[in-house]
Amino acid sequence: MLRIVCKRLYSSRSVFQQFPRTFRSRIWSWNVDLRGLRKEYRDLQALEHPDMNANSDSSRSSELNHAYQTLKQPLLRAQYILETQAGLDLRNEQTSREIAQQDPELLMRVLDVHEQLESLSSEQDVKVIARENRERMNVIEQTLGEAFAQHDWDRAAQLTVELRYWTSLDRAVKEWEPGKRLELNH
Amino acid sequence: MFRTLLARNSLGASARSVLRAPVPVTGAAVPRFVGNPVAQPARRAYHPKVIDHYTNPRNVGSLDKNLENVGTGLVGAPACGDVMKLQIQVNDDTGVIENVKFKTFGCGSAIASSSYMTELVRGKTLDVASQIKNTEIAKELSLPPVKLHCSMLAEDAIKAAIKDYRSKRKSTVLK
Repeated sequence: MLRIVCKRLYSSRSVFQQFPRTFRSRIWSWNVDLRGLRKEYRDLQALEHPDMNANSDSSRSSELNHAYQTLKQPLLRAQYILETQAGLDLRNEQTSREIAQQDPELLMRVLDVHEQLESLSSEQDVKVIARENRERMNVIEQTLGEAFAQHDWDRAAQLTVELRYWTSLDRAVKEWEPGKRLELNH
Repeated sequence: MFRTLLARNSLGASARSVLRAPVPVTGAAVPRFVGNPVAQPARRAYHPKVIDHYTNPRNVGSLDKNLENVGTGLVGAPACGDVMKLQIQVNDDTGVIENVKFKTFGCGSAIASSSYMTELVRGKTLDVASQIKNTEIAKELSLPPVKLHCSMLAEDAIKAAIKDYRSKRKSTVLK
């Protein structure tokens, strides 16, 4: 799956260029008008989707889908920008580790929240953790915007690694059920 | 076979309940497991050893990290967002790992890798434990190439725990 996504990322047109109405300048941008993007994506899929158009090429439809997912999800968007603009592949174990080493406290913080979540038994408490985590992610996403604006790739990479951990937690929180063991899927 | 393992995410709740189904385990592979006599349904997505360590992880929990003879290893896989904590309690006189606990927040393979690692190191000396390679875990659990990093995480975790213990007890560690 990951490998397929990666392959898509290397296709000749950037994910930004596939949505010319949303990204008029045709260059990368951290800030995305998600509503506009969604509209453009749907309009394009209406033309390309095999269900709508028997003559269309289904690979084009799935390319669009991957581009849309990449742009829609902050973590994937940040990884994509770092990979294409700074040559930093954070999906690579080695690269991401080197970056993560700069912040040894991060793991402690992540483990701490996971252990909190693990000890909870009421949905109400889990919602609190979920909200706190969302806030944390929002702050990171904003700070990422500043780092990208300044082309501060190291800082952006650091923040993206952190976002990776909190995105995993976000998924764990969504799948939480009383008494169920936590598992992260990726 | 492991395609199914990786696709489990999209299968959702039904797959999860399949995972919890009783699984026959060969006695030789995991001696401490008391198998459920009920026969396994024909469907089987995981390698049996992974299922076993995943559904019945050994030595889950925490030790008091402030104890002098407890070493804690905390490692992460920033590419996939997994976190693994492995703790060892060491006999200061013999250098033998007498107790071991882990907590892993990650995928099934990461949980199985760390669970198996705790079984491997219990009762071993620090020197022997520090020689354990991830390939040993990957082989035992038949991990596919895309999940090799999970076993590497377990190797990193035990090394970090040993290092932490040694830095705490520099003077008393046996050669």
